[in-house]
Amino acid sequence: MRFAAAGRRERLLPLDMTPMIDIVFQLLIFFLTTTQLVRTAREVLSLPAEAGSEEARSGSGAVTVNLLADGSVLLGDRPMPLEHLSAALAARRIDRPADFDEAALIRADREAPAAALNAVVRSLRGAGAVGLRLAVDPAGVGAGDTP
Amino acid sequence: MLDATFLLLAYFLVTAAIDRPEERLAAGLLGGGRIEAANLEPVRLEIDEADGVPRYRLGARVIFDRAELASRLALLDPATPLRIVVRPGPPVAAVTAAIQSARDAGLETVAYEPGG
Repeated sequence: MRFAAAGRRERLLPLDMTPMIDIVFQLLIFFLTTTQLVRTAREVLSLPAEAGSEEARSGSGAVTVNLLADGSVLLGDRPMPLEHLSAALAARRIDRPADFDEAALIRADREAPAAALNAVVRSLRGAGAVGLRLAVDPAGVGAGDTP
Repeated sequence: MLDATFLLLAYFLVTAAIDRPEERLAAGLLGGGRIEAANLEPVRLEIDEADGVPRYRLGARVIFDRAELASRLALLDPATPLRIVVRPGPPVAAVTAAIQSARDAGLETVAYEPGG
């Protein structure tokens, strides 16, 4: 008896892996790129643990100053010595005056010295900022962080 | 396709954990006109530090406890402008605590004044 399987060629479905590998690599590149952009847009800080206020939520905060725990300052994502901050803000006001139509946003570490915060506020006031918004972390409320 | 789906899922889980939500505390800048234009005399709250402990001076009263500060601020008329004078020394957390207490007390006008 001759079985049909003996002479039958086993059919193999040709599966082309190339498109799948292409997509995986494209995804990888995309996520690597976007992760870098997200990191540079917002400095990681230990913000004060507060609930925040309702009226401060509107607006996007065109001028953002980050104040780190050691007193160093970043204008947006750019390191900025305190002594140059006033000039940088003045230049920005000339280039983009609409940025100062909203209250400036200060993201200050909870352990940063108030002296550095005062210097930032003075610089913002000198540049014509109409108000301030201080970034806080509502998730930390109740954790015993507040003085 | 399954691998790509799990990769997407892991990515969004991780980024959702990293991106902590933030809130904002509003404060006016002295010199902006609003506090000077108010009909009521501004109340002065000074923040400094004594032996490493943040200290609040509300008028003539010295306060170390935040709860007491909040209760004193709640006694003020909401239309009363509050001028927060920040001296060098205390951490930023003490400043935001004062502003938050003022907002929680319903004070409408809170201005930040950098002190020397």
